[in-house]
Amino acid sequence: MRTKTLLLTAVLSAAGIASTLAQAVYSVNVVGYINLTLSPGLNLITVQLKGTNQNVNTLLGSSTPTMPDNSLLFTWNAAGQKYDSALIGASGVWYDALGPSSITLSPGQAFFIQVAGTAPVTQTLVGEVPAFPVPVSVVNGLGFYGDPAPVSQVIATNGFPIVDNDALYTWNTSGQKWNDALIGAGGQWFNTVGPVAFAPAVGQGFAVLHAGGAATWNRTFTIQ
Amino acid sequence: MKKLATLFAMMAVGLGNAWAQGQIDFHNPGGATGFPLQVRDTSGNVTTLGAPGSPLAQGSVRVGLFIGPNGSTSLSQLSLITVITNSTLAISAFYGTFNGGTSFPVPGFAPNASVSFAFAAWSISTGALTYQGAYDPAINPTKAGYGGVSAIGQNYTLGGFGTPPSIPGPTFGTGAGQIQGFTLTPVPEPSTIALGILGAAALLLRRRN
Repeated sequence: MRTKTLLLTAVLSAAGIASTLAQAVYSVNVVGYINLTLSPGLNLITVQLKGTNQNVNTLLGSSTPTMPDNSLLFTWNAAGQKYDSALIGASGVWYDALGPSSITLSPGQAFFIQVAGTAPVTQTLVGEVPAFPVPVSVVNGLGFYGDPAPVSQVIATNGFPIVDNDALYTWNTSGQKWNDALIGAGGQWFNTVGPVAFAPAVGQGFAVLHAGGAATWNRTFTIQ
Repeated sequence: MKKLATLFAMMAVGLGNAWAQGQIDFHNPGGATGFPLQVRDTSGNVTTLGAPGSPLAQGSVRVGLFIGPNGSTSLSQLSLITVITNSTLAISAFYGTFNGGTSFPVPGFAPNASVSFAFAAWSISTGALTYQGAYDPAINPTKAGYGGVSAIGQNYTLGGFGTPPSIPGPTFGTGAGQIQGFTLTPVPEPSTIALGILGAAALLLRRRN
């Protein structure tokens, strides 16, 4: 999954305006876009920008080419421990059984998009960086997460709650299967040979089988 | 709307599509909240494998994964799928653990199939490549090392099913059908086995008389 961000440009622009027009009135919101290249088949992603609302059709409204008809979107139902809200794409719009979907996506939530057809699709996310800290609920058992901050940073050093015997799963898009999990121990992630500084790529989702009780990932992030 | 309903119906069928191979969680959790391998020495002392004071060091045992039809009740009814070496990570949470993959593909078994499973571990010093070999005088004439086998786990549903594919559930735990760890003991000397057989025979004779 290739990513491209324009956030830095937006931040730099804001900073430049602030220094030259000290008395000017300007928005402190940092806006930008993220392009995610989605492969045919299943992709586990997260949305790291806030739209004017969190409706799936607002957040995922633009792609090149148009999301193929019969593409699917799956969210995870932590309470029921199953996938639900499987939406169908048609003419670039996500539908549930009643019409254009009313499903919302939260910062820190990961979900699958299954791209129909054989060609990759560039999904463009447009919006503003959420106000930090962003609280992300981490449930006991299986949950699907993404870093609310639109950067690739090590989650262990950014407050993700890790307890011994947690298991972190990443999705292998090219193989269309789960990679073997990283195991939590002493507040870090490990593979079979040693510690791993897991830093999800921008827009990358992941799943955690959390062995501990419900916790909150209070993600802090400073725009520099 | 009719088209939409048809699409959802098609999607429901699609959810039933299966991968070629089911998957199992081939690892055991360690530490105080896990189920690390234990070792009982000849004096009866029990330690966590690989922990300081244990007669078995990290990376000193082979662990075999056995799988068979659901309802199997003995190791002989299961097939050895693969063998790995236990963890060498020098961190207490990984003492007594092994990790052959949390989504290990199982040949010959479809996703969502229910199976029985077990794990067996034996010292590499036995020279055996199989659990049974560790107890074979032809392979391990001096009866060196340790060995142990878990209970038979039951009703395990292999992962990799559906769209998106399911993550294999934990094989270790306190739930029904799960394994709650197991202990390795010294491979018995031939003389010990002989004494055991003699003792059993004597008991039988005494009961008959």
